[in-house]
Amino acid sequence: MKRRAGVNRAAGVLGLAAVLLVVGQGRARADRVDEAWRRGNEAYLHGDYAGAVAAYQEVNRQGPASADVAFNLGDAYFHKGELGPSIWAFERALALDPNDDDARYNLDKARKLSARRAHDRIEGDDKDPAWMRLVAGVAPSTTTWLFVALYLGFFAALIGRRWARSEWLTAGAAVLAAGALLTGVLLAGRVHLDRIPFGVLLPDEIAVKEGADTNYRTSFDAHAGLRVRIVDQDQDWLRVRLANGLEGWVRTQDVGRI
Amino acid sequence: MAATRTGLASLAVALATLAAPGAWAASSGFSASIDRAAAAPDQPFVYRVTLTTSQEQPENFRPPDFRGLRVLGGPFMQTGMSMVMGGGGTKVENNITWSYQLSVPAGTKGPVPIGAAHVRVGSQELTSNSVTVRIGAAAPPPAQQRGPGFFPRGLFGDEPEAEEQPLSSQAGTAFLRAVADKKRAYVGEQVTVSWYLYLSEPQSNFTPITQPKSDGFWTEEIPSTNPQGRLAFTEKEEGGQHFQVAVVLQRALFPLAPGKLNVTPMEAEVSRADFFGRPVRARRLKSDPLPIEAVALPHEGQPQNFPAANVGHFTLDVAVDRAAVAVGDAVTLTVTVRGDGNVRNVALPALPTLPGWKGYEPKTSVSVESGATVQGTKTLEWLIRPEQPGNTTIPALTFVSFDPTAKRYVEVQSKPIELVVSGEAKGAVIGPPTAAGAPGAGAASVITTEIRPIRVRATPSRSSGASFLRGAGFKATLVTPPLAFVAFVFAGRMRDRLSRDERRTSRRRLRSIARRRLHAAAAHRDAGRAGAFYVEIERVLRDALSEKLRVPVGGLRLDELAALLGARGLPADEVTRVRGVLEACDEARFSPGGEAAGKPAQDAMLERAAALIDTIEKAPLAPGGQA
Repeated sequence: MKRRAGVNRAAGVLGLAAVLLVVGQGRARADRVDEAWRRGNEAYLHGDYAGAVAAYQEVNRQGPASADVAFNLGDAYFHKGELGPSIWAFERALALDPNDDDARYNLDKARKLSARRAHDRIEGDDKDPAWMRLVAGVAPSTTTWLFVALYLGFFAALIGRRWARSEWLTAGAAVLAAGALLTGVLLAGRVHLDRIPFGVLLPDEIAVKEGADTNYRTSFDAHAGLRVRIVDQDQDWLRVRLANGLEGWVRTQDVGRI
Repeated sequence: MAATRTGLASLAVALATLAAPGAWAASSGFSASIDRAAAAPDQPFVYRVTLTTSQEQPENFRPPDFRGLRVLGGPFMQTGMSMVMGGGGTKVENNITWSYQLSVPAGTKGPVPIGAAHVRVGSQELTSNSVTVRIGAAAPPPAQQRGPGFFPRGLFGDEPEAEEQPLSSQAGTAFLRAVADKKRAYVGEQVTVSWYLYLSEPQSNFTPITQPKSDGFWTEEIPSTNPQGRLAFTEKEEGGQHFQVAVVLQRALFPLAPGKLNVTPMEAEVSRADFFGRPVRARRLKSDPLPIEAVALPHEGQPQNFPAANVGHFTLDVAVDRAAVAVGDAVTLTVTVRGDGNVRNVALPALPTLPGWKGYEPKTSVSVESGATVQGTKTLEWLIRPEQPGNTTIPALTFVSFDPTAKRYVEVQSKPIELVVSGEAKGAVIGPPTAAGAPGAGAASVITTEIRPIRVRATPSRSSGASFLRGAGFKATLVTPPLAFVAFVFAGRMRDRLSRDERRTSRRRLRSIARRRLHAAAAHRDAGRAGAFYVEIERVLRDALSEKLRVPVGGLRLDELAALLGARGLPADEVTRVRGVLEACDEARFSPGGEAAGKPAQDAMLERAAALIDTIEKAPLAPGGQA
């Protein structure tokens, strides 16, 4: 009996240690993220845009997705003169937070500048289908948490209703179910949208090939920042489709996935 | 359907041959004819050459050279077979007819001879007779020239009832005609060419085969006004004949250099559809080539290096997107030319050199509306950036064009534009001051464009929702509530079942106790032990209540017991009954020798107790705690 109690105590201590380790690691990672973030901001404010880009990319690698980091990265790329990556970063910021007006403004500026510098005549702006605009119009965080709240609330109401048969609980469960269904559809759209591979062309000028090799003829020229849909992959090459329907092959490194 | 027609043709040929014994003479002939003696200019007529042979199939048919005539359609080939009886046997002959639709071009004088056609049959080379087309008024073909009646009328579509409908000798006529709105135009001036399809009888299909070529012209397609997938026909009388006419193609042509230019013919095919929708009786049509003379622009008043495309009627508009800028900021200067002419190739005025400003490659955009007259807008967007402060004037820009209507050069001028540049002179490009932040390869052309600054909060925002959505936590959140709900429902049902079992057991035990005690009481009664009888009755009642209430009630006073029963939901009259029985038992125990000692009273008590226990057993009493 005493032996069993000892084993239980040891297991408890080990469990607590594991929890503390996980929490501690998380805390340490958060500290590293914050430190890289501060470093990136310092570099940017001192005009070291390359350093800022490196620091923000470190944050991106370590931390959770952040619209702030994507936005600052876009600014740093912009001032570094790399419009393609800048547009890609602003697109990411907008994907994470569709209500980010600053990102939208800067994206517009970067796009216009890129189009002016381009020698091709390809228009970059496309009009997504209505469902995509609807889904992308709400921040993923908002959709997710709203759905989770309504979903949990619905089941709580169902359980409560079995406990105490109240009309209020029934009505509440119905409202919560409708809300969960609505946000669930929105969330399903978000998940589907995330699975559609979109990207942004990164180099200032890019020769889009007819096949997945440099020896193929150039199908057309495109410029940095054009939003493309990735429709196929062949080793290091991606087949991309522009908004106007043009398709061709580019190297994987020339496309930043959103 | 086609088989039926061939059969009819054969039958008609056979009947015609039988009805004309003289046909023997032409049994191996190769003869040519036209369907009328005289044809008016531009009036279609039919030339046909017929081979009648009993030998092998013909080879290498060569039509005559239709020099001086216009071929509107053909060759159309028709075959038939005839059986000729006579001479002691039956002879089978093949009849093959090639026919062409021709017309005499306007302006032709005198008769036009049509030479001989040639064909090889086996080893024999046959040559047809020549025919001559006389120029005269439109007239129906003479009856004797309509052939020996080889084919049923209307089989070709070009052999209707000539006698009854004089004009219908041209029925079935179809041709293409190219028409230019002018035959002579200045270099750069628009010439609109339309290709018309003329049909004297409806056709089902129209298929362009060769598009006309217009080398030496800049070409703009004029959008078709035909409804989708079909031609819009209008009625037209021409040369005394009724036609359905449709525009099949329209182009705006702009001569690029002076000289005689030529638009090549358009070729197309018309056909009808048989019962199954398949094209039959296809005819190949070809328009005439169209010569156009391009005249050089007048030298008088022509500016030096005048661009030949600047012909038409144009206006000029010059604007900037802002009049006041800071050094390094970009200004967009937009030069727009609007008007009708070869808008796509119009040369816009060049941007003059602006001291202290840097200009970048302009962006060109063209918007063309190709109606009957090509018109539109050509815009140049110059990105210019001041490198030093001060006031700058963009001088008036001049655009010169040639007006072909007025036949003179026209000059339009914009107004000068004042620009105010503020700030201090600085480097051409934005870039970091430190070596570490050296601008990338593309930075050299980056303009100082104001963008919204970075965010410098202590920690970056985290899109926790997006991360949560992609993590296992979200899946767990999705799965857990329904599972919890199902578990809850299951647990509830199990609890109910257990509870039901417990009640059933309790009832069974209560019945057993009651039965045992009531037997014992009956035994006391029978033995004449009245006191023991009433003790047993009271005990059975209290045991039954204890079992029912799941609370020991043996030590409770009567008022306490009554209160407990009332609290557990036993109806008041039942509580009174319980109390009455227990009081009666007490009374009988403590007052021996009374009426209660008698057997009848004990029997009655036994019945009352049994009935009361039954009631208690069935009563839905609420569960409770300790008494």
